[in-house]
Order: sequence, then structure tokens, then C-alpha cells
Amino acid sequence: MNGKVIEASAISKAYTAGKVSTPVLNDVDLCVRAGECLLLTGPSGSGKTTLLSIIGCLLTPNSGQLDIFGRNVLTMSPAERAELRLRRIGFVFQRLHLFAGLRAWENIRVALDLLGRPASAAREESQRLLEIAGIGDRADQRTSEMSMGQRQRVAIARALAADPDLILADEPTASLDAEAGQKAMTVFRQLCTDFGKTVVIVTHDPRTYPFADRILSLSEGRIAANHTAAPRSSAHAPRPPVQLEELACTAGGLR
Amino acid sequence: MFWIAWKTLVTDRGKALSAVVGVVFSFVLMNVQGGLYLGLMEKTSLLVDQCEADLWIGRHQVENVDFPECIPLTWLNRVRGVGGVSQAEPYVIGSSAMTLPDGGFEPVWVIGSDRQSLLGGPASVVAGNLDEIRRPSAITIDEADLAKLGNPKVGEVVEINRRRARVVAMTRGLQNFITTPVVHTTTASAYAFTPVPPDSCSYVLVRLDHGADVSGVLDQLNSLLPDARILTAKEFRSVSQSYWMNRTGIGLSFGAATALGLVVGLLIVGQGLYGLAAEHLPEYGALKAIGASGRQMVSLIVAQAATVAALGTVIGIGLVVAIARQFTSPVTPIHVSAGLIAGSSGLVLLICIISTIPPIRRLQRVDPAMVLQG
Repeated sequence: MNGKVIEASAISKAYTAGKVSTPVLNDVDLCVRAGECLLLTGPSGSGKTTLLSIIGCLLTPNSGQLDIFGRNVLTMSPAERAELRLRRIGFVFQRLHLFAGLRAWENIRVALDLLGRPASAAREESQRLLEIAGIGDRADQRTSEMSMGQRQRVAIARALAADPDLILADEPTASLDAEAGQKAMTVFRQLCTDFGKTVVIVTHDPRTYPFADRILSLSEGRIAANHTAAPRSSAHAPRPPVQLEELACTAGGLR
Repeated sequence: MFWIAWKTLVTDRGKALSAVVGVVFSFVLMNVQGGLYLGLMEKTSLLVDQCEADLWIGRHQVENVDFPECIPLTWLNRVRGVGGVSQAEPYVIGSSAMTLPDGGFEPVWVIGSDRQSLLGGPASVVAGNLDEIRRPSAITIDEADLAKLGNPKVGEVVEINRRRARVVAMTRGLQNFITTPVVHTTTASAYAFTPVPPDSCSYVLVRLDHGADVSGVLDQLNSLLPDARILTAKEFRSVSQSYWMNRTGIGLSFGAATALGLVVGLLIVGQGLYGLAAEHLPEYGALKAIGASGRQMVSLIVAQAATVAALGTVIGIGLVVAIARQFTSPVTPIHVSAGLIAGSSGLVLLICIISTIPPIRRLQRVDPAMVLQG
């Protein structure tokens, strides 16, 4: 694997409705290394969610090559891709999709059940994951009674159920206020720094940029900019704010 | 997946409850209809069921225990001479009428048993002394027919076929399918109370020696009595039940009601499960995106259905027992057997499993990518 968690080359994707084909991604190359926190940014319709779906083995590109953990996922059967998602990729969805009537720890148990983990250890394991996400004190609270920021962290804990090597998050701070967004991003940062996870986040939110190791900006289905951040002062600390304009300036030749 | 199934049911009680109500409805309808059917069918063979005879010998044309034709008493001696026959007794069944205190008449079904053995006589006596039935003109009446017969008491004298008869005992559970009051007596008295000629009887009841070769005895009897229809008790029970089932269409009637219950139950359960699946479609889509296999998703829905079936069945059993206790009567007995409960539980589970097809198909169509695409 050579430390490469994701290796994509010449990925193209078009959505077809009737006879009309709308290209969304055009010859995208991407390499993400273990432990990296990568942000995918860009305007609406730039193809970042489609790219995230392809990396997450939820969508198949029309052409290109995609290796995840050194395996060519495009030759896998749907069942093999589902198994890969279940065991090695964690998802944090924009709308979270938690079971609203269940308690925080029960939402984690749903994922543990899918993994076939013993029910007897589910409570303890769920609690541990909620602690990592910084919401261990709310384990018994129903998610319907939680704030968006708290729910977000439950969703992060759920994504950690399989102890995945790769975590994909779609607009994790979109519905959060500044403080909650900061907390959520701190958790993602810790997952990279303390646990060696690879995190890929789709975001519109400039507040998230300081937490990234690298920021890829997409435009019209192509990578328009690739910004590698300067070293941070401490492992979990955010870097100085990064502006999109700055990204645009550094776009040339960066792939 | 049972845990997730249970949790999703508990957190969406409204839809879960409607599905459980569907199961309860189906289960209760099946069991009450089935119990009524079984109760009525048992009444069609009541005389056979309460009699200890191994074989019944009647006229060749007989189709139903309640409607015999006369056979010569001389058959009795021929039967008694057959090897393997330990006992053969006459049995007289005839219609008559009892005079009521207000001067009216009530049709009665007079059953005459052999005076010594009382083979085919009443099995359950709740008042009086059955031994006294051997006295001349002594009769028993069933407690369920008291009102019809003007409420005679044990020891009272009544009039049957314009002849005096003394009530010596009260029986229980002798209401037959045709609902005419049953009066038990001896053959001698039965000849007096009914138009059956004294040189004939309705059946010859046969008890066999222990370990006798039944088919061998039947062969001998059939060759001796070519005009007779000779049936084992089990066969005669079946013949009598088939007679009423075919003549009245009762099976079709109860079957249609039960089938309707099943269909309505299927629709209610199906709607409930579909509603549950539709309600949680985004969450189920997320589970698929996380990596839940198709088999796991199917297991989830089937587990929901099985849970709904189990809950509905448990509640249904309670309701059925309560209804049977409250509403069963000698006229309309509701006989809920363990076999009926087991059979209907299996059917309920089956309809619940069938009703998972639409929600499963709906879930199969969910593209996990939609979770990210919004």
C-alpha cells in the first residue's frame, strides 16, 4: 500500500437522464495517505460529493482507476464493496441518518450489530466510542433530544464502530454553529493525529480549513487547487485561517 | 438483527401497533371461526363420539348417525355369532314429540340403549340417577334443552308420544347438530315413544374383543349382512361430519370467513410493515451505505414481521380464550383446540412473512449512494 489509502487516477463520472449525459467528474487524480486529513471543497455542483461517493464505494465511475487500501475496488462485486465499507470505511453523512428514537449508545450498537459484534459487549464498546467522539456523558440520551452538534458527534462515534482506517464525512459542520463545528472538527483532527485514521471531508465551510493537512478544491469536475497546509504548532491545534482565494493562488501545477 | 427490529418497532409504536392489530384480528377471526366450525362438527357426530362401540351397523343407505333407517333385530344374532365380537346391542333412534305444560308440543329425538349395558347411553349426568333409566318409561333430558321442554325437573312426569315418561336424570353436553332436544331411554321405552317397530332397531352397536382383527371381523359381517353399512366409529364420525359439511356448505362458509380474515390481516400487517420501512427509509439507506448486506436488510424486515406475528399471536390467544369462555354454549360451542391455535399461529406467521415482500422490494430499490447525494 506504501501508506496510500486512496489512489485514484483519471476518474470520470457522468450522470445520465434519458439521452442527456451530464459530466460531473473529469479525469480526477487523487492520492490520500494514511493519517491524512483531506478536505474536498468547491462550489455546488463541482463534483465533490460524487467524488466522496466514489471513494466510499457507493458509486462506480464511468472510467478511471481506483485503489482503496491497495485493492482495485472497481473490479469488486457489490457485496465485496459493501463488506469493504462495513469493515474499513466509516461514514458521517450530512443528514446524519441516526435513528431518532434510539439513545446515543443504541445508535452505535446498530452499527456494531451489523458487524456481528456480541450484544454483551455492545454497551461498553458504544460508550468507549462515544468517549472518543467527546460525548460519552450523553450515551443514554435519545438523539432526538440532542443538539445538532451532539448528534454530529454520535454520528462520528457510529462511524468508528468498525475501527475503520478511512473516515468519509459529508459537510459535517454545515448545520453547526461555530463552537459545535470547532468541536466536531477537533474530533476529526484527533482521529488523524491520535488514531492514525485517514479522514476525507467534503465541506463548504472555511472554518474547517485550519484542521486539514491538505485541501483540494474542485471546480467543474476537475481539481482546481491542491493546498498543503503548513505544520501546526501542536498536534490538535488548528492552523491559521486559510482563505479560498489563497487556494486559488496556489492552484497551478498542484496535483 | 432482532434487536434493531425490536427497537424500530418500539420507537414507531403507531405503525407497529397497527400491524399487531392486524395480526390479532386475523388470529381471533381464524380461531373463533375455526372453533365454531370444530364445535359444530363435533355435534354432528355426538352420538358416535359419546358411545364406546367399536363398530356401527346400520342400513346400507345410512349417511348420518342422526338419520338412521330401520334394520331387522334378527341382524343382532347374526352379529353376535361372529368371532371377535364381544358384545352386540340394539340402538334405537326415532323422532317423537313431548307435550309441554302449556299444551304445545316440542319435537324430541329419542335414543334407546340396551337396558343392561346402556351401550350408547348418556355419558355425563349432572343430576338424578342414571341407573333408574332402566325402569319402565324412564328418560333423561339434557340441561341445555330445559327451557325448550318447559323446565321439567328430575322426578317429574312428562308426556312423550302421549305416553307418560318420568325424568330420572339430567345430562350435560348432548345437544346435537340439528338442535332437537335429545331424550335418552332404554330400547323398550323407545319403541313406545317412537314409530320404530319393535322387531327392528336403528343400529347394532358392536364392541370387539381386545386385539380382535378388525378387518377380518368387518369382512365376515359384510358377507353376512349384504344390506348393511358397517363402519368403525372413526369412519362413522367422518361420514356424519361429511354429510353435514356437504349438505349445508358449512365448511365453505367458515372457510370463506377465515380466508377473509387472513386477507384483511395480510393487508393491515403489510401496510404497517410498509409504513415502518417507508418511515425509516433514510436510516435504512444509511445502513446500506455503511455496508449492511442485502441479507441483513431482509433479516431486519423479516424479524420485524416475526416480532409482530409473535406479539399479535400472544395477544390473540388471550382474546380467543376469553371469547371462547364467554360465548361458548351447548348450542354454539366454540372449541378452540391446541391444534387450531398452532395451525393459526403458523398461518399468521406465514401472512406476516408474505407481507414483508413489498417493504423488502422497496428497500432493495434504495440506492445507498442517495444517502450522500441527499
